[in-house]
Amino acid sequence: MEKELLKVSDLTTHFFMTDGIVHAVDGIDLSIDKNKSVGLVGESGSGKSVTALSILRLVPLPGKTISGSILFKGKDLLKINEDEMRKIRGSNIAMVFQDPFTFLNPIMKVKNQIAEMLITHKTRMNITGKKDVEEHVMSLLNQMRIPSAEAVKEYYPHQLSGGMRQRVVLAIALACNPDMIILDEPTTALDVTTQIQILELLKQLKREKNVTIMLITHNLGIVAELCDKVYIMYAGQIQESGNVYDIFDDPKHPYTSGLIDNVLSIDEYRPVMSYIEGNIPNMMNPPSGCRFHPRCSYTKEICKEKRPGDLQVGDDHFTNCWLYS
Amino acid sequence: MGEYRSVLNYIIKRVLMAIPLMFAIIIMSFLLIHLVPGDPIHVFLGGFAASPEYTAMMRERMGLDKPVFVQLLVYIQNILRGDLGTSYLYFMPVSTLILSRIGNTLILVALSMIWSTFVGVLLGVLSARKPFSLTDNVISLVSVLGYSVPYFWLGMMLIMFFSVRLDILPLGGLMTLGVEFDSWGYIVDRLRHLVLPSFALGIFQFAVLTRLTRASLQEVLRQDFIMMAWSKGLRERTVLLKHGLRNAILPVVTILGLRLGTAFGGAILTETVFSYPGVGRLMYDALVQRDFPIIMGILIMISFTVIMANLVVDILYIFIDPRVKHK
Amino acid sequence: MKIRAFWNRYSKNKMAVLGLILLTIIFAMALLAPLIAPYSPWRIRVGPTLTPPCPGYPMGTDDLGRDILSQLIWGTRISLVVGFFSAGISTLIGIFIGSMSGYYSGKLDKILMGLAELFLVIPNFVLALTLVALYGSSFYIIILVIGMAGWPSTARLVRGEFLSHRERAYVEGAQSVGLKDREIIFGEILPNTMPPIIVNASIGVARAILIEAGLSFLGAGDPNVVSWGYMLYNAFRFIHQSWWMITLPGLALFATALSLNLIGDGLNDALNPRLKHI
Repeated sequence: MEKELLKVSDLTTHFFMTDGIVHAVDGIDLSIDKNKSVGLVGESGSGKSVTALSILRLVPLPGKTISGSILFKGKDLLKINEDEMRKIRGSNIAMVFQDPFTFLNPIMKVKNQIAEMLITHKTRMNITGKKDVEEHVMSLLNQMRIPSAEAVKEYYPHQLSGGMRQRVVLAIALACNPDMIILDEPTTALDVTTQIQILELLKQLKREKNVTIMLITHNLGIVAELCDKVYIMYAGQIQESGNVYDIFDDPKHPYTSGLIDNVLSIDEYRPVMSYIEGNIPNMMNPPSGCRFHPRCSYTKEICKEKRPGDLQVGDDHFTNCWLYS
Repeated sequence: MGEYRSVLNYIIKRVLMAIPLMFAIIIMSFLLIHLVPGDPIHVFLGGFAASPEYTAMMRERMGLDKPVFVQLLVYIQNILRGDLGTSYLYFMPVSTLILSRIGNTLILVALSMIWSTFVGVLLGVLSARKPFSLTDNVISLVSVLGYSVPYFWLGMMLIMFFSVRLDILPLGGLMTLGVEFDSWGYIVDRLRHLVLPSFALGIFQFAVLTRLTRASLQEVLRQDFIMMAWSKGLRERTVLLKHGLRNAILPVVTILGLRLGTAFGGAILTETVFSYPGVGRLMYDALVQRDFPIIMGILIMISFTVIMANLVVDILYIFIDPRVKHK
Repeated sequence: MKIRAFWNRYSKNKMAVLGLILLTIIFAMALLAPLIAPYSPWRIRVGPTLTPPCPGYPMGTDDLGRDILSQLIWGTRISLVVGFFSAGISTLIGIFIGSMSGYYSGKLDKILMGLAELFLVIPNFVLALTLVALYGSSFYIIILVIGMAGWPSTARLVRGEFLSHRERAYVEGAQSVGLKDREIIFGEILPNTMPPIIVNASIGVARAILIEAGLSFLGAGDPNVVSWGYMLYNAFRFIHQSWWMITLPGLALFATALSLNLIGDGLNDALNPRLKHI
């Protein structure tokens, strides 16, 4: 069986605005193996959310993925037609979004929002009838450790707490036993206590289910707890990648070191605070070469011109920095 | 069980708000009559050249020789009893007159509202689906034309074209004489007489609805849960209608009462152009003859209808937006 | 220059520019009426009665032999005057009531909005018609009446704007500096809320013109002025024979209302720019 589930090569997605082009994602490569968790880390504006949307081909206008390939189980998702892609969304690749309040339909009951998943992909799920759907819905709610599931399923989103809503969103995502789920900042909109609960739930799901996880976040704390492999993204480019121990114990890229240094304590789940000098660049007119060069203490002339490409610095540890050439 | 309690509260609150409004209409109508320069009795008599005895009787009936406040009470009391005055033109109670005609107008108004809703919402959805596309621009243009056109003139143009020129639709009126009741022919005949007037009457509403639906749906489609719906792998139709439109339809429902009022107002002109014997035409006849009891009576009736309609819509809201129940 | 930037945005909408051109033509007709109308609109028997358009009378004559073209040209004056003045009245009332409501809130707000609700429940046209029936159909009364019928929508709009602006920093700043309420409302907040009010007003002018036409068509208009609605009132009897008597005044109404509505849309787009893409 193929070990690699998702292989993204040279993905480029731009936004064509009236006053310029935003180079949100520029030539990134990702490789995600089956049943592994991969973290995509970066500040806001780094392009990580756009990457997730690109994979699902849900980039909103005026955005467009203009080059690259996304190989999922052998098929290039950028080349298949919309109907095929639609079948993959939700059933093979599911997504969990940041704010469960705004991402749930306010006038639909919880059970119906979950059931909708099952019914849409009913062939894949072998759904035989209403009863089947109801059983699945209850089972999912229980797996998400939602208390009083019988009552909760009749509720509307506004009647639930933040943590419950996120569990519902997770239930929806996992309803069709997808090969992979993409989580975009799943804990950011929640309060600290709930964040911990959801994180525990995610760890449990990772253990119990055979699902590949792609976690997008700026929170290094949950990356440390949940991920096997990490990609560091800055201004639309991947700067470093490696397994989670290498990244945390031995960061190579100056940006990564900057991030790790700023995490005061991993146990505190602090969001990344950038004490790195400067700001993220204007994505309509990004810096040439390595986009981090204006803020980097080790900049050389060549950094302004071009990037070296991925340089191996360890067993499964790569970085795109001239310091290691 | 708490849910039922809050639903009941909600309904009672709405009813309690409607009642003072109805009283306010009656009081306003009273004020309007009494602010006319001259003796208010002329308003109650209309243009009727009444005999002194009749005038004295009316004066007493309306309590016009008593202090103003008492007059107001008499006026309110009469209206609440269903007595909207007596038409001098027809020598009948105004309420009877209105009741005899209201059916025709209701059919006309209902038809116009039904077609304008379906077509308006449909075009609004098509517009919002692909903003700034050719479809959107064409539909937007059509809707601007729709609410700029003087619909009574449109009615006349339609008559000239379809009735005078082409002779495929009747000129006006309710039905053709000689057609038997209780036959398909009767229904078809009635419908033929309703085609042009209900089209003209609905044109403004349709234009407003198109724009409203478009704006509302566009707003909804920008929201996060739509992105979530797409990520579930739903087809476009489902996202657009089940998730999008169901959330976007709220403002359309809200203005239902208002639309009913506008339709009744528009019926005055429409029924006049098409010689259609409804309440609108009655208003016109009353206007020509200065029969104020009918004019005021229709004003009050229409206002009450709108208030009722708003109340019904408010209650309907509970079924459409479940969030209302839990406030 | 702010005006240049505004014009750039406005002119992107081709239909809005068309509307502006159309309205300018109509305005010009109104201003130059005495110079360009071939005959006096009142003179009867300038030509044979009920003549279709022909070389001598480009738009034909009516049943009393009056020239239709001249009536159309002079009619622009009435439509524009009624439209702008009525809309002006309802806008002014609306601004006044809406700003009080939105700024002070509380009991005053409830009372004023209750009043607005009262007027909203009675359909515009029905109210206008009743008022004209009761108080007479002189030209000035008609302007007043249409103005009185339309204020609630403006008031609600203004109120909404004031409610949202009231909480903003600059208002707090103005209050702390000691500006009087009146100065804050009219000097600070109101200028910021003008764009939607202007859009609403331009649509209001179109609406007022159509209401006046409707009133005149029913015979409730002022018979002493040349109004397109009145022309239609007169022409209705001749619907079988004289198409020009009906088609042309109606087209004039249509064109005028359309131009105003297109301008309103254009203003809306120009003042609330949306992110369009290539």
